[in-house]
Parts: sequence; structure tokens; C-alpha cells
Amino acid sequence: MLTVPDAWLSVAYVMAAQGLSGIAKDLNKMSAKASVKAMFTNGSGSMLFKWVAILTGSKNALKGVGFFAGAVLLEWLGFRAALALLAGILLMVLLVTAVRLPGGVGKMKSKPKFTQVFSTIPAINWLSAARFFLFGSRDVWFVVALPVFLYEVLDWSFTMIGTFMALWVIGDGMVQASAPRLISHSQQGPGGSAARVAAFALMLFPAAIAFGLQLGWPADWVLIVGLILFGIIFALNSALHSYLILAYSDHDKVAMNVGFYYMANAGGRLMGTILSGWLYQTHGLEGCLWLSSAFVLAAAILSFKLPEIKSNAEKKITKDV
Amino acid sequence: MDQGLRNYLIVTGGYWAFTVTDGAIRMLVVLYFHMLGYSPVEVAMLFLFYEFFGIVTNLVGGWVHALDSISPCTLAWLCR
Repeated sequence: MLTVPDAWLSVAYVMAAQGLSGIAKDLNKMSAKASVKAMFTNGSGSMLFKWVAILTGSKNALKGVGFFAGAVLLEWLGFRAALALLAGILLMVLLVTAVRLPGGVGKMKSKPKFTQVFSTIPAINWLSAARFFLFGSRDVWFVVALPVFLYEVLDWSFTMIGTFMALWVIGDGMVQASAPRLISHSQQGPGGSAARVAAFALMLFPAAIAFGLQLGWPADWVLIVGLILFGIIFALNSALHSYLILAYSDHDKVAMNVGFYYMANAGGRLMGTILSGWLYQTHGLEGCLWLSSAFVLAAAILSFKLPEIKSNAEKKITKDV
Repeated sequence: MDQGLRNYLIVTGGYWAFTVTDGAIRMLVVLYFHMLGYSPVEVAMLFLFYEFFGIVTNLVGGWVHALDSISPCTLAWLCR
């Protein structure tokens, strides 16, 4: 849709195209997960965990590859040719899917009621609220402010920007995957207090980066080192949330509860995205980073409502997506 | 090949291809529209519906999905 002539590329048009992309992204994610669950219902449970983990665990790496590919394609082919290439790839996938995939795959046996999307467990609602601010704290600088700053202030090439953002996302996924080993786990497993400690620790990083920039330290090094450290602690926070959602969930309704929780995640991203553009324009990258810190503080305060886990934690930590 | 595994590979392949292109388009849009002279607020607005419909889709998706099967959903995202 975006390969039309430049003059057509109005804000409204691209907003609409991106809107369809947003719908597509989540339908795709949910379809993929549900179909994998449906395919392995007859097999063993451990198989299911393994396959779902491979499917979702690959997401950050692939998104990172996408960031890199997008930036490189823009530099090499230009906007229109790059998009045409991407559209061609998707068309091929569409044809394969349409021809090869039977229609009944992923049909759910039980039909959840709409109201069940909203969690009746208070801890999950507090956790979702905390997650809203956690994801907002990332996207408030990540979505618009950082790439634009790297391009116009630090004069990085598209490829360099794409590479840095790709490595950040891939690293984030890797830390999340190894989080169970990094977080000290007693018999009980981590609880609300661990989430609070992690959030208060994370709060320091955007503030420190903003402070460093305001002191006039070399911006590239402050950003590279600062954002890598932020990424590690952010991933730990996110992994803790992913663990807690399962721990707090009613076993039978994990899927629906998680659905509500992802909605909060998407809400945080929406707010972060809008504020990323507005704050960068009005207060620069430092403004975005200060608000990022404030968002993490909000997540930390909300985490005071998170209880410790009572039952012995045999639930598996699953990857965040 | 086992039917379940084959379906899994198709779904996973589709999911991967989509995720890579989704990330690529995000980079293309930010950098290109900044280059065209759009302000940061305008660039952020380009993603407004993307994120907004992400929320809506997550909210109603479980419900829609319960009514329907995979192929219509998968086709819908590929037709974007």
C-alpha cells in the first residue's frame, strides 16, 4: 500500500496503511500461537511448550532482523523498491498459506466469553497497569526520538541506525530468554517485591542518560552504553512480568488473562509512541528520557500492589512477545 | 511429512516472514518520513493507528478467533 507516488503519502494515508498493519500483526500473532496449540493438543504437553517457545522466542530476533533489513533496504534500494520487495515476500507467503494450509487449523474447542477478556483477578490488573508504563517507558524514546536523533544529530547512516536498533531488540530478547537463570530463584520464585526492585533499578537508567546528555558528555557513547544497560534491566523487568502473569493466573484461563495483559502492553506502546514524537519535538531526546524514567517510577509504584506468590512456583516462565 | 508438523512449519514460516517485514516497514517509515521533512509528531502519528488497532485487535481477537479458524485470520494479515 505504501508504494504509491510521494504526493499520495499523506499522514492520513500512511496512518490508515499502518493501521491495517497493526491489526494484521496481532491477528497473525494470535493465529500462530493458537494454531500451534491446536496442532499439538494430541501430543505431549512438553512438546507444546517447546514448539510455542520456539515460535514466540524467535520474535525479537526476527524483529531485529527486520529493523536491520529495513534500514539497509532504504539505503540501497530506496523507499519504494524496498516496500515492493517486502510486499513480494508477503505475497509468496500468502500463496503458500492459501494453497497448503487446511481451513480448520487452530479452531478452538471452547468459546471464551467476551467478558472474560477483562481479568477478575486484581493482581493481574495491577500487573497490567505496571506493564502499561513499563512499555511506555521504552517506546517513548525508542519509536521516534532515538532513530531521528541518531540520524539528524549524530549523523548516523540508515544502516548504522538499523544495526543499533536491531541489536538492542535482539539483545532484549536474549536477556529475556535467559532471565530465569539471571534472577535468583528461591523455592518460591520471584514475586511482587522482585518486580518492585527491578522497576526501581530500571528507573535510574533513562535519568542517568538524560543527565549525561545534559552535562554534554559524548552523546553517542552515553546513548550506546546507557541504552544497552537500560535494555538488560528492561528485559529482566519484562521477563518478571511474564512470569508473574502466569503465576497470578487462574490455570484454566491463562490464555484469556494473558490477552488482557497484552492489551495493556499495546496501550503502553500507543502512549509511548505518541509521546515519543511530541516530546522529542518539544523537549528533545532528554525530555523523552526523563518521561521514560517517570513511567518506570509509575510502574514501580503500581508494583506495590503486586502480592508475593503463595503456591510453589512450578509454572514455567514463558517468553514475552 | 507429518500433517501437524507441516502445518506448524507453514504457520511459523508465515509468522517469521511477517515479523521481519513488520520490523523492516517500521524502520522504513520512521527514517523515510523524517527524511521527507515530516516533524517528529507527524512521524509518531503515522504509527497511531498501528498501535491503536493493536489494542483493539488484542481485545476482540480472542473472541473473533473463537468463532473462526486460522486461515481467514492468516489471510487477513497477509492481505494488508
